[in-house]
Amino acid sequence: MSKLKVERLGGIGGFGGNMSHLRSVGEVDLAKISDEDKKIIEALFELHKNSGESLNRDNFRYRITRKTAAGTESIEAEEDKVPTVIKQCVKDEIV
Amino acid sequence: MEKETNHCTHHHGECHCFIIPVKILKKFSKDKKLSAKARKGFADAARFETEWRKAREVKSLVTASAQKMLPSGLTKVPSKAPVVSVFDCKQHTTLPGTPISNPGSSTDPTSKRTFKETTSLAQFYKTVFGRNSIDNAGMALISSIHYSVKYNNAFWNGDQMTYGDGDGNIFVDFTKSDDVVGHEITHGVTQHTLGLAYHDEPGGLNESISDVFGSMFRQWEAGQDVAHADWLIGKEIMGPGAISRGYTCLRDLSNPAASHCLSPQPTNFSQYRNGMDPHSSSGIPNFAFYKAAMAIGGKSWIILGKIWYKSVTGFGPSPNMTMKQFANRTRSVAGSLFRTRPAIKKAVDKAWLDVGL
Repeated sequence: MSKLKVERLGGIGGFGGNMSHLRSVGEVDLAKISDEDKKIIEALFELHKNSGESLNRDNFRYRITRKTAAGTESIEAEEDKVPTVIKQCVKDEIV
Repeated sequence: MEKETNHCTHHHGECHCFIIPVKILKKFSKDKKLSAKARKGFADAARFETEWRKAREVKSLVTASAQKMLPSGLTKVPSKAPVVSVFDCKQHTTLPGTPISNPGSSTDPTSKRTFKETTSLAQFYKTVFGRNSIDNAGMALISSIHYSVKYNNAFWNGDQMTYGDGDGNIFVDFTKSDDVVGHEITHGVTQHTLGLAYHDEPGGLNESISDVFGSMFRQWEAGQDVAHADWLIGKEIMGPGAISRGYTCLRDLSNPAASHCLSPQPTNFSQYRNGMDPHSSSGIPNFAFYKAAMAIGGKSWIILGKIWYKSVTGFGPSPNMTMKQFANRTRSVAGSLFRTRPAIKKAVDKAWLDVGL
């Protein structure tokens, strides 16, 4: 898959919650980002299973979804762990 | 903005402080497929991570040691008002940003407001609950404002508060609601007391405690009793795009499921599911607090606030506490603090039963 789907979640407003009217979604075209950003995103998927809980509260989290040969894979990462290209691809809106 | 290639250098602009294990940072630093500049960035990041972790460990040890070394007869560090500092991120994301020398008299209204509300919140905790700042030992209250660009959020990062300016459409400046300032600082209080986790039931409790104390702070500042309070979270941060669509707040403790909330919440524990965002499940204990407050009447912080405060701060850490356990603790504390007024315990008990706990 050449594109990652991204959704911004949480924050003090509770973006993306079941009953929330706040949504923030976007896409990242992997063909258009740097090798460094690709490496960081790859590391996020690699580390996902071992990530411990931080002390951040009300921080945004990013759900990143990709398609691989094994199927669709999603992870959630805290804002301070994702590259700018992920943070900047989403658009906040009221739905 | 300049294209980013460094990965943990605090240069003027985006800060890339990834919490990636040192071993992977080191692996990237030797990856020949990456540019020399990128490899250097990862090597710097690995060094920074190592030093930063050491610094945090030292900080924890110093705090623990200081509490053991109090002069005899003292049970806590002598009371002194906490230092209140405000930093300007200038639309970047490096924390804490540039210090503002006299934030209380700054020409920047956000700085002035942040200083005023943070100072007021410290007074609220001191005068109402006898608490000296976030850690009850005079911890400096550090706030960063103008974080990032059109940033629709405010957060607590384990050490300090951070506020965005809002995008000007859905949200405006996050320092504009005093309950938001109270909410963020209370995350620090919870961290230093119950130490609640941030997922499932303890996560919902964690969020609720911040909403409850944020709302009480708002009422205390306005001198309002429970009947005159609006019980809203985030009223003043609603932007024109939200207001024009009928949204008046993020959440409403008096009616968590209301259609005027940008993020309506469940009102009964029967609606709770594991994995819910804490900002959603917090509606259940929020509603219990509101119901108990209305049954008791008067000013929320005088009776019910003391029950909630004692339940949060009086029993040591309990990171995995369930909502039912917290509910039972408030019942017990209500009984012990107000032994001669059984109606208070009855009001607390009924409020929890009404929300399914």
